[in-house]
Amino acid sequence: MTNTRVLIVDDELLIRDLLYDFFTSRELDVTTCNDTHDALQMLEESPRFDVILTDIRMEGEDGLSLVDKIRDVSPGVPVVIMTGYPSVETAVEALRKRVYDYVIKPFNINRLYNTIVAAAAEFSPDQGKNDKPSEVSTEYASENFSSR
Amino acid sequence: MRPRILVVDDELFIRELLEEFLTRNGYNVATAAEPHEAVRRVQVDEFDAVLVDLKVGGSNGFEVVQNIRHLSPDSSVLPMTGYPSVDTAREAIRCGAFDYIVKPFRLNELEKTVAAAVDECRRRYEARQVKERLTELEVKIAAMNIRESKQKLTLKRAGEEVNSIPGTTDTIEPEVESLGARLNRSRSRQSVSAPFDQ
Repeated sequence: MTNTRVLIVDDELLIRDLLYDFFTSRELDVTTCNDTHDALQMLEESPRFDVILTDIRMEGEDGLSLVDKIRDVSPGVPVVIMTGYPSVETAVEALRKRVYDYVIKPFNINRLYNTIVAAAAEFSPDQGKNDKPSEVSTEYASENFSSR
Repeated sequence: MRPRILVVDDELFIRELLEEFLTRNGYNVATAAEPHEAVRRVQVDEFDAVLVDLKVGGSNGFEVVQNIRHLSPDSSVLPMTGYPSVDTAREAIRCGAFDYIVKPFRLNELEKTVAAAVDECRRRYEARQVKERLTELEVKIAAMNIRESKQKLTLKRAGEEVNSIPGTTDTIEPEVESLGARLNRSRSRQSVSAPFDQ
């Protein structure tokens, strides 16, 4: 059985390294990149990711624009958005783009891990976003980890 | 058939306004003033879209949203709020809401969102029907394949030449292909939704 493959897109090295180390220690297969251009290149070369975790604010194109392109390359793959600058506007935009979750930094890394695993478990080529169960996922808190 | 809409709001003015406006625009509209009334309506009727105020009857509107998603998974749910916040928008994502409507809204823009929500509900319904039919056919094909193998084995034991058994999966495969194509077309429309300008 292959491990869950996660693509992390964030321009902050600290976040990429921290998530890489933590998720790898929990046996996820993690790939990181620092902008949407590299992310798209990776998706085109190997579109078989089970979950994509992306920051919103990055140099160049933002993470929400990346979601549309992900839909073209890897339709159905769950996307988890993270941001240190939460707003109603970006949360609603994320909702309309059918993201799996909208995570606010600083976050609890254990809960983020649970969200990633739950998103991957839900994803299969036969399942769309709207098959999502009605159960509400856990709240995030800053108790374990601060990034900004 | 006219799309069916349920409006859940404890403000009479909002219920009447939406009922009148949406009815005039070709929808069949029901209303509920209380969460339990909304749940009861969803238990007995099918709705393409449900508009739910997040503060209905002083309760947490997300309980209503979750109940509706559970009772009627094809229906598109549209939370409405006069107090938009990041927390409730995130909750809407997690509940699988179709959109997040901020009051006050423009009726024409609301109508576009409702129309997109109805399309989404019908797409989900169609995709589910196609998937169920595909599963039925897959089971049928598997049974036919087993029967064919058994017949071939019997003929082989009797020392007869065996090529193919007439009347087996050939009759079903064209339908499977056509349903597969319908499912793919339905999925390609999935991510399209009309934005609701705030």
